[in-house]
Amino acid sequence: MVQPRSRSTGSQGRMAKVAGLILVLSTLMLNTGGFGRAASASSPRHGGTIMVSDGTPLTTIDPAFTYGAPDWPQTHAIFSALLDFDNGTGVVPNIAESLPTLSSDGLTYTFHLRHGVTFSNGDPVTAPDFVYSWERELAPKTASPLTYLWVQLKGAAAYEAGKAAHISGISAPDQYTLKATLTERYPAFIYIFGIPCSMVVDPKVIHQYHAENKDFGVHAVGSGPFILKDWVQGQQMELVRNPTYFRQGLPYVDGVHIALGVDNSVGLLKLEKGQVDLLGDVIPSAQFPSVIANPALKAQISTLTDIGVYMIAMNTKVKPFTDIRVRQAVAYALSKQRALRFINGRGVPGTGILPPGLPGFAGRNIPDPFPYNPTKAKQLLAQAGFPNGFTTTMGVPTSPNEQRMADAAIYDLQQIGIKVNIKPTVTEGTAVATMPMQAYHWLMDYPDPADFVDGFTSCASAVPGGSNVAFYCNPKVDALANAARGMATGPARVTAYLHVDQLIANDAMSVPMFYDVYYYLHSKRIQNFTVHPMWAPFSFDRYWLSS
Amino acid sequence: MDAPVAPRWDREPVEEMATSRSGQGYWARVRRRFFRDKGAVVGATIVLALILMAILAQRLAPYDPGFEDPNGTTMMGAPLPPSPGHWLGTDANGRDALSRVIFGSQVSLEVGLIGNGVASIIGLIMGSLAGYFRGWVDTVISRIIGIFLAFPVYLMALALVAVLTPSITTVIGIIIFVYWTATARIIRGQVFALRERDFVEAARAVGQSELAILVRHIFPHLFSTLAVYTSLGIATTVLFEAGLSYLGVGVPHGTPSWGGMISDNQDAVTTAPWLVFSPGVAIMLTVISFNLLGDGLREALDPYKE
Repeated sequence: MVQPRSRSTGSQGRMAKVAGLILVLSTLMLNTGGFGRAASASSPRHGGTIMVSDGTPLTTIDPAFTYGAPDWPQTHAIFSALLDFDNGTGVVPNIAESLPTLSSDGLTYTFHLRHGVTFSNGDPVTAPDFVYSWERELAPKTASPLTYLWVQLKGAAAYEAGKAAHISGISAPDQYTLKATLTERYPAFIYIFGIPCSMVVDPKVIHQYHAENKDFGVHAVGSGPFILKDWVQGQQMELVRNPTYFRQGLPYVDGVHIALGVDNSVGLLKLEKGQVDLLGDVIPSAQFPSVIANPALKAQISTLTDIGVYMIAMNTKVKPFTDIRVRQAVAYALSKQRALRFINGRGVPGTGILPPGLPGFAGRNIPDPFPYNPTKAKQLLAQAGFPNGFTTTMGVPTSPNEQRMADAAIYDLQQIGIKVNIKPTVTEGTAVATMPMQAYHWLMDYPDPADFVDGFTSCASAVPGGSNVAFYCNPKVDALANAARGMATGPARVTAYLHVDQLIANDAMSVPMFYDVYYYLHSKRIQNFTVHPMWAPFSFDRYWLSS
Repeated sequence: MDAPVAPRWDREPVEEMATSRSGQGYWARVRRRFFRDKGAVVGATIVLALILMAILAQRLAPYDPGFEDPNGTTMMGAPLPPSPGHWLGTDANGRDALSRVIFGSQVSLEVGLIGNGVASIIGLIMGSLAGYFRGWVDTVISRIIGIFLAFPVYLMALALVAVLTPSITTVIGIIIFVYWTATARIIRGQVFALRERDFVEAARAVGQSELAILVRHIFPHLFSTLAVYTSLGIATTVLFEAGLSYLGVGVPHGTPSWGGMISDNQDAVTTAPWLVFSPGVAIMLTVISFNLLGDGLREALDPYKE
């Protein structure tokens, strides 16, 4: 506020100065809550910078490439899509002014875009920009890892193969109308319009960067709540509020500062000291029991049941896992309860590949097809011709949960005579034809069982470099899955998918060990913090700071 | 005809060694000097205790080091503190820490003794050849030593282990690969001096071949140096193996090793510090005791002392 200026002197001037002083002091006291809580938990306060510490490396925030879960929250902060998600897994309109209409044959979505939405550089966001963005992503020379998400889009396959100049299934009849047509009914496809792979990019900027040989993935321009101000890879990322963001009043904070590559335990210490608001990683395993037991931190812990599954996968094309008895033996040998202890009990034991947290499943899950029974495991191994076990290799990614899961599993396998050598792998999502076993985590792209089943159990996905690390292919299961995909959402579809899950489980191509629960710690001053199922752990546009 | 013994006032050592006629007296003096040195005695005792611990690990350890006790952690996966059932507590997998420390001595000593032993032999041969024959032999060998010494040791180990499978054999191989140079240099210097001695010239005069002179006359003078530097070297290689295991490129994950224990449990240093201190203390004791032993041997075997 401006201090009142007074040219008057003498007693009048003195009074003006005292009045000014009182005014200044009372404003200051109001702002710091001196007269009570000016910014209560219920009314958002604007301003401030959220301090984040993240150990996981960020690779890219280019919507055409953001495959890894750690990249999603930042991509969601900088870019926006036709739809967004509410506090859970429900879709709500975003750049689209309302949810799309679906044609009577269930194949064509029509979106009407808001007017007045712009990129942070002022360029207007129009329907042709979406066409451009999606064609850029699926262009053969882009080689995006996200093509598997667009399989049902009409014309996508031909375009990706270089046989068509455009994707026939998308069109922009005018600047603010967008149509997308599928090759088959697929109710879950609506989620695609809310996740990073469909977020819109500015064609002008892409062309400009291409000419300047600048990497868009690092110097992004989007239409989201924040602008990427600075990104020094591996060190820090700076986001600032986007003043042109179409949602008035959002985001609440002025910016976000993310320190990258910081060890999780160090981040935790900083948070406990009040230097950091959020941690990008879950509470570290060694500190977890003491953090949970600390009553002072109780209010600062947020949990979310992950819609994902951790499993030990076996390559059905590599001996001896070609024999179902060997796979069943492995399944009987692994104790899921014990594996859960290895991750501090943060999860529930797995049974099938579909987590009970999927919308519509209401916690339903198939019964455990192979309850822990090492004696039976040894019998099956002997029947399969391995009375003394065998030696094999398991690929294990660097993520802590997978390493702990692998540790627990390898010990259990040792007890039935199977000796497992660990081979560190960078990521689990790249199937290697010769790798016999793989510690694996599938985190949903979107909250639908089809994402799981099509993602890593279909015959089409059983290719080197794909996500089906078990190279599992059962045509009967495929047929049932294809039929279930197009069913209308509802109990019948859930039942159909549970049936598919049961068949996959009987084939024992993997042992689902657990569905994990995230535990995140946040500072006292950050308000409205929840771990969002899609954007875990951060949805910066929804948080505000109390000081 | 025997080589003449040189007179004392020529600044020759007080006694010749293996070729001396007064062998018994010499060794008695060595023994006396050694046991007078308290540090050396302490060092030797601890080394002996460590070796016994490694040999009798199976008998001494209360549990199998790989046994993951289903009740060995809390329900939330936290390690158990020291208790009558587990003197040094357990780790996050439910394994007994004391048993792992005991068995860890096997890895450290095996790697140290075998790795260093073989490295010393190779170093002895290469160093002697370089020091004795000089000329192009020396140049070539010295260059090779120089190249090896210039390599950043840990990076080289990391690179090698990426190609080979982690195992005790690989670690021993890496240690031999890297540490023969240390011995070679020292031996080379010693042989340089020794070859100028009169008994060498005398042996040559008598008609013995160069190789025979090297093996029969020079080698015996080197054994004490070898003993000293091997035992000092064990200290270094124990640390090296611990470092490799800490980095994850030493013995296979899961094999009890002191460096591996420190690495596995480093996150728990604030919540379960005993898991990091016990292997750390073990490494420290081993290094100190071998150093004391080596120093003691050097003092005791020094032919210039009374």
